[in-house]
Amino acid sequence: MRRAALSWMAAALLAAACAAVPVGAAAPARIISLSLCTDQFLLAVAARDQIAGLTHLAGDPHLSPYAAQAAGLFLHDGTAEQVLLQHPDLVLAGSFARGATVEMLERLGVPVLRLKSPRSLAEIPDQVEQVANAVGRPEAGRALAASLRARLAPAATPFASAALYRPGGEVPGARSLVADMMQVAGLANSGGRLTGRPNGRVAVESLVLDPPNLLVLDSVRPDRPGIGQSVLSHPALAAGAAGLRTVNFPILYWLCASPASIDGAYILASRARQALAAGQGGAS
Amino acid sequence: MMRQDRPLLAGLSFLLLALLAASFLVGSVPVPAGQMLAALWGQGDGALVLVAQEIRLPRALLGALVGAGLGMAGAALQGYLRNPLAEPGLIGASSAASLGAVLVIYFGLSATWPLSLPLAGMAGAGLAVLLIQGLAGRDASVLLLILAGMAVQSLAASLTALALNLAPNPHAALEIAFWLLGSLTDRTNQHLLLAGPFILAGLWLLASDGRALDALGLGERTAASLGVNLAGLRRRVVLGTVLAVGASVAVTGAIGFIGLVVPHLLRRVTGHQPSRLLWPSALAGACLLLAADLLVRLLPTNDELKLGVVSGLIGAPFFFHLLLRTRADLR
Repeated sequence: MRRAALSWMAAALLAAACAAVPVGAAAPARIISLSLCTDQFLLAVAARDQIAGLTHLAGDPHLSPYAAQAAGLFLHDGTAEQVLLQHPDLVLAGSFARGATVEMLERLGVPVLRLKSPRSLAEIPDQVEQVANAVGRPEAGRALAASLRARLAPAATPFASAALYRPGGEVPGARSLVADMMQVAGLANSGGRLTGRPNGRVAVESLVLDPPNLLVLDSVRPDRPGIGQSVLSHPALAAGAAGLRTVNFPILYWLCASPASIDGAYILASRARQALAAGQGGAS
Repeated sequence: MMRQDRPLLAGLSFLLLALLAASFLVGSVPVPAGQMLAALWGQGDGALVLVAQEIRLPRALLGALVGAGLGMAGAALQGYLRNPLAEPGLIGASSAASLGAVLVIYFGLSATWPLSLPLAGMAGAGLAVLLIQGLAGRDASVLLLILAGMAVQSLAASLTALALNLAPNPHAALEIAFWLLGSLTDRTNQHLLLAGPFILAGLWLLASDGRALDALGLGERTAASLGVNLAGLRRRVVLGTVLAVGASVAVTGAIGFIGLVVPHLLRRVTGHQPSRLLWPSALAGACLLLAADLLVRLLPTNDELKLGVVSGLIGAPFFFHLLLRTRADLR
């Protein structure tokens, strides 16, 4: 009798834990992430068997730094229907997309943790800890956050100026994760000065006449042609105006602010140094 | 071409040269005119030479050529269809040329075979012109022509949007503004070389039809009795329009109303004879497009305006005015 009562109580407790975001109680066992960015935090801190679903973008090696780890996991299409049928006991939602889906899930009693996307590299370790606590692995979160913080040492004085150049001439300016990563990589972002606004478009002409040392390209996709793409291969840029070097950098490191963004800052630094060295060696 | 039109042609040519120079000298970065002109001949700072030769020169020349093509095609179509509202944009030729260009650019053909770009634009424009002829026929009422044009235009615009949404590039759908409204921003010498010869061929073909179009103005039978080969004229006008409009739109997107506004303004000076209208329309079309492109660069908007916004702001009120004037015919 006592054993039956105990197991009944345990079941009741489990049900209660499922009904709300658990706070240090039993760890959720079926977690679903609703955005590419929350996918990355989940993959970084949760155990593989806790993950019940990720967005279909999580498996795209162009967009997701953890694409290899996402292989074999269930990838959903983001509709409330598909998410519900996985019977999640915790849903991670980002701050942008799928507002209606998230509201519907909340109305149906699914525990949802809404995450604000970090606006700077420094906010990333905090979010790692937040997600780790929610999925019941606080130690793993603390360890990862500590190692990330250690690598976020303030950058030395910049060794070159750089601007990110995107299809259609878009240049992210001063207030962005891109600028933050450039700073850690030792690059001074001249995007804000070029556009005169936080984010904007830059004509090829302005770029040629006021070139940064380094033009960072992250969206060159010859397999996806378009008018916007064609600007990236403008002959005035290809001919290499005085002092202008280009470097290709995978977009996946700064598409989302994620633990991988901190790796990305180091990769950016080494690629930038390579490009500048190659430019000096084989300069025309 | 008549002797009394010489002052008009000279004035327009002078204006065109001035606007070409202005288009070359005005850009997003202010550069002293002397340095800019020196850079055109390869002298001075390397970056300035690039800007002069690879950015501003193709923009100015392409603007003039596209404007000339649209202006003359408008004049020729109005003469041939004997309809004051015929215009490459309004009859849907421009939108259909956009569709052709979108198909070859976004599905990768133009990257491997650049010549496919103007050819696809021309194929689109050709289909639209033939469709309009089939739908409305020549000598159609103004109303029927406009309705047929609207049908072709909305079909082509929808298919363009569909193609962009189906394209492998996920951002393609956002680029529809370029194709519906047109722009000369950051067009290159390659675009100039691809479209230029076809536009010039189209201009030449249309310009040589002046006399035949004059005769057609007297009615088909009269024209035939005057020795005009009607079937040949039809082929030449259609082909000339297709060459000029298709190649233009393939590299700049559809820029509306140039071919409507220009011949109407000029008729006050040249009268109603198509032969006197064709070359002035080409020159004035080039001037209007260059002026619009200058305005686009000078207005302090957040993003550079699309050209079709400016030409529409000029052209649409003009269209209203024409509609009011032809209201009697529409009843």
